[in-house]
Amino acid sequence: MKKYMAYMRCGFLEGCAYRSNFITGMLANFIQAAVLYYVWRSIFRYQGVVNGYTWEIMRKYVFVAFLCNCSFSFGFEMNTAKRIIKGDIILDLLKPVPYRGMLFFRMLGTAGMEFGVTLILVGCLYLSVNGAAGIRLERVLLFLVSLFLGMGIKFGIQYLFSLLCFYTDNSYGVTKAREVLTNFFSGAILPLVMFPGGLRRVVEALPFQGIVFTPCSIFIGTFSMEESLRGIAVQAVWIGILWVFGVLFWKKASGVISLYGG
Amino acid sequence: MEVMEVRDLKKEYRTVKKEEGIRGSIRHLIKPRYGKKEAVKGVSFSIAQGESVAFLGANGAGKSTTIKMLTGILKPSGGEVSIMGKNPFCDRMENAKKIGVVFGQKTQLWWDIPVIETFQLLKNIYEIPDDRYEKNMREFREILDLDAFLGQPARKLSLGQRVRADMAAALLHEPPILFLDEPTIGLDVAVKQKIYAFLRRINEEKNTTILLTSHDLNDLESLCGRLIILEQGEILFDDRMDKIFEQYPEGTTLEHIVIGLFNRRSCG
Repeated sequence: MKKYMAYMRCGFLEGCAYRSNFITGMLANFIQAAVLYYVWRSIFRYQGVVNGYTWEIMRKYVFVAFLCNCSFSFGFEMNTAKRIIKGDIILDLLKPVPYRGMLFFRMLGTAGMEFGVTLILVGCLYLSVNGAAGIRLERVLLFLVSLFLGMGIKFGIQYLFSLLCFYTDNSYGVTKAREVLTNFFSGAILPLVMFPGGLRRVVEALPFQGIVFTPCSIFIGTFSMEESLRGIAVQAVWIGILWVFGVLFWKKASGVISLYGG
Repeated sequence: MEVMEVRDLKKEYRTVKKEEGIRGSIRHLIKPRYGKKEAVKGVSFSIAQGESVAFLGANGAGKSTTIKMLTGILKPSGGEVSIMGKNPFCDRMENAKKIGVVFGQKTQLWWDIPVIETFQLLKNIYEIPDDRYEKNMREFREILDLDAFLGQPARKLSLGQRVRADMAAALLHEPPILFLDEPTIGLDVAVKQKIYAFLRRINEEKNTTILLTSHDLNDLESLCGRLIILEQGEILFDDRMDKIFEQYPEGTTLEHIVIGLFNRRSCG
């Protein structure tokens, strides 16, 4: 465990070294959140309730969703993908530490910085728009558990996508594809309850909802306690499934490393 | 005691066969064709504890590929490798504890955080006790002159500084075996000498087994007691360093002999 803590520490330091990178990236994403905020505001002017959501709920959702999706961001994932393509991954493989565990804790360290910065920014905005009313301790605790599990799911998906780089040279394409898929299917752009029936069922059978929609719904209170616990259980199951897929895919992909030998 | 045994080791790469021009590219897109390239064609050798062996060969002779198989990163297409009695590819992490590796063209230092942080990380990864860590660090700082840049991130180091730090990083856990793949590529004469003096000392004092590839023949001659020459994936020569002069009496220096050998290859 000490090994992983050491990786986490280095990840955090690395995150701090890249902070300006992250902050500019985050501000760019934040414009998207601001646009969503105003679009929803004008929609709710014409219609009081959309798929069970009121403006009071939605203006919480926009900010919390942004917070849920901020960690394990694009830039660091790109680096991992590039390391595979450039062959620098062999240096990671020469360590007596499992590759995936190393990656996870390293990203978790970085996420500490990412989450901290975003929490300050988004937290202030949330409070100034919504106030502190309606924040309940038991929901906050469940939210934190769910948020952490959501990060596990996001990492599992990122890991699988990064392994695709053993087969392609396009790290940007792979990472971007992953980002677009998770943003759409996780509820980062619009709450999954807004999806039409058929699509909704598809989304519910996918792991992405655990990244944003589940923790977010728990926090803003659109999930009942029972639904919250069920959501958390589903997240845990997905982590297990992604973990197994990761093991299998790694076995297959790591044999391909030869392609980048020389 | 043999620390490394290699029997009939082979590695095949898949290469892309692409025809020239736009038509060739389109054809490749629809129906790619692949060929096979044998980078290593069945090599066998064994190395005893404390030996220092030079791996010599023209570019593309299969040196790096062999090293990557010995370190457990690459899966051999055939044959057997045993590092201290274990298969490095199957027991990659176990193997990693016993070896140190330096690739002259890559670095294991963290690019954006101070060099000393990388060392601290290695201490934790390899579970090096405090006193051994302190002792080794003191020694490396003195011999390799690390003090001036331990607080700098790796991206700010000069190549010479970077390689020296990489060398210390590879040896911090006192591995019994050290692999070096062109560690002195691109370095100036003074740094090269420093590195080779350091390697000699490690080899003598700690009885570390060294396997290294390089093109600095003079330095190799002074460091390595044994020479293995690879050519097109096969072993051409494997014996004590001085024996090569007996086998090729026409050459006066190692450099002459090697140039002769490499040239013969391109003609044949």
